[in-house]
Amino acid sequence: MISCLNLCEILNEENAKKIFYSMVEGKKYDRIYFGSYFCSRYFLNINFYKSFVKRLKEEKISATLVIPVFTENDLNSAKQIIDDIVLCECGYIDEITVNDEGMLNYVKKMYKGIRVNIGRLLFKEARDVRVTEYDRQTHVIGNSTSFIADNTDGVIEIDEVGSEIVFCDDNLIAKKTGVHYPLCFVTTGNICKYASIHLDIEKKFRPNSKCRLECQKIYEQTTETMKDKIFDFYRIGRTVYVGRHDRAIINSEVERQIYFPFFDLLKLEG
Amino acid sequence: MKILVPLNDKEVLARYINAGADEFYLGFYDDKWEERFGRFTDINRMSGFGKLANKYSFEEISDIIKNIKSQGKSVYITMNANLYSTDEIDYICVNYFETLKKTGVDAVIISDLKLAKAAHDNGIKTVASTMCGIYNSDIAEIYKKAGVKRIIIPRDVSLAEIESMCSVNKEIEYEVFFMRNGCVFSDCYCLGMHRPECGSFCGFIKTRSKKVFSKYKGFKEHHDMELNDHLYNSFFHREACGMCALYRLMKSGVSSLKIVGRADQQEAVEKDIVLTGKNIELAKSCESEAEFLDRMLFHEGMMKKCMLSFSCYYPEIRF
Repeated sequence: MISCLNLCEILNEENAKKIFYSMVEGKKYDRIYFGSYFCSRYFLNINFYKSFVKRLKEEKISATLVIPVFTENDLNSAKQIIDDIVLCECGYIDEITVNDEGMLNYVKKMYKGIRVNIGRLLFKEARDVRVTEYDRQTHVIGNSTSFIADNTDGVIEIDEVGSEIVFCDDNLIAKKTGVHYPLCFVTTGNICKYASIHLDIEKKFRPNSKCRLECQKIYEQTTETMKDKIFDFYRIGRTVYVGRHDRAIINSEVERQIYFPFFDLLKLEG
Repeated sequence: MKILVPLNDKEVLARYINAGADEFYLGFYDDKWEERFGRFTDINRMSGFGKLANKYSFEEISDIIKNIKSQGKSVYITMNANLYSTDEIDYICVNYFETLKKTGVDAVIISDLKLAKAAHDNGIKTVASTMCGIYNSDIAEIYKKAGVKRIIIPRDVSLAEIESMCSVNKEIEYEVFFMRNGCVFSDCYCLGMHRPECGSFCGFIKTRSKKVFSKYKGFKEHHDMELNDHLYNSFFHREACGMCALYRLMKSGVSSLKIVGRADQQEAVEKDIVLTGKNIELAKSCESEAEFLDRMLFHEGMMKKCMLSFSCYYPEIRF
């Protein structure tokens, strides 16, 4: 099992050094995911990716660049940044995770020889702990993803949902799987509540608005009991997650566990 | 430029057509589907609300489609659930597509590239639902190559971005959200269920008590944070309207303006159709966006909605 650390959306200039000392050095993890799944604004705002990759190279830790979905205005500038990162350190990055069909096509065309993973946003099976009967049944992962997965040699990344996950066709079953834990994303979007904190009222809550990375300074937690279980929901950046403590049974080879160290990081930061 | 509206009651069809609707979209229920795939497996995005959202059976909508077509209007059928398994797509091909083709339906609204392929193989055109998450021209290109005739642009995209997407892929039709309901997350990435027993996930998370953890210090930052939260929960996207963007949407080549709200009051939808139709005619006669914004018509009391831009699909026009 490959042990991966997912630093997407939580890595920032202030905590990068601490993360290295406590989580990365000494190879506690085989692979580091960095970039963003959910927020194009975060991806574009972070400007120390190259030095981060350099450090990963020095530590001989594999690196996966995660690319979010960009809206039209940001697409071209994002491609330039992606290019800079992928080509830095003599092309040390050996893996890219994409989250939309357009970027999959682009990355495959531009970066031959780099493995391309199918990111968690491309898996759209409902996940909702509020509907207990549904949550406890088998979750089927469907066709559209299979269609996309036909075109890649990388890992299929899914969230920890429900008690059992079944890929519905042989193409997906044949792929290696990575499972994100302990937070399962439930919803996300281009409108960031936190990004509006400092904005004038009439400018608040616009899609993809520029921000000061407010997501690095605030999060919300909601705790609810559903039947006999307690669930914690977290709004982190643009995304709402639910904490999942059980591991699902999956009908394919789980090659990697992708750990999101949000709470470890809070402790680190005191 | 067409006005697209939901049809949840066949009795209202004539009224909507008289009001100026050009296109209709509707879904259906199928008890046999539910028996076979279970009650949590959706045919379309609104299946969770059962017959409240999809009032008619497949057999009934076949007649409704023929009726709409006989009046020279367009009709689209929603098959935009989060996902479909192989068995479900096979079921759709065998049980729906053959019949749909005979009705002369304009297209099915799909959320899945494999379903699009299955529809095309059966001679049915497709529209890419907002569930496809087509946020930029590169994604649009993939769907264009897959043969969709129209793309529904997500609600959380700016007007300038819509204009850009329309200018890049001109061979395809674009549909945009125009009136009634907003969404604080993205339709296509909102994976919480929409069902009567739980409601929407955004509604749930907004109304529950929460703990806020922040690194903010001092009165002003805390005040700004609290105010922001209050405005978001209380006012943002309670309703939605894109009327002020009409002129630019028309100039950018958008084909269809979508009035949503399958469960909304028919009178309110009808009023929106009439107002949209009048403003389309007005926009045609205007020389500039400024002229349109000066002359455009509003509903009585509509300005309340306009306050602070919280109900705007495209707030950048006025604010």
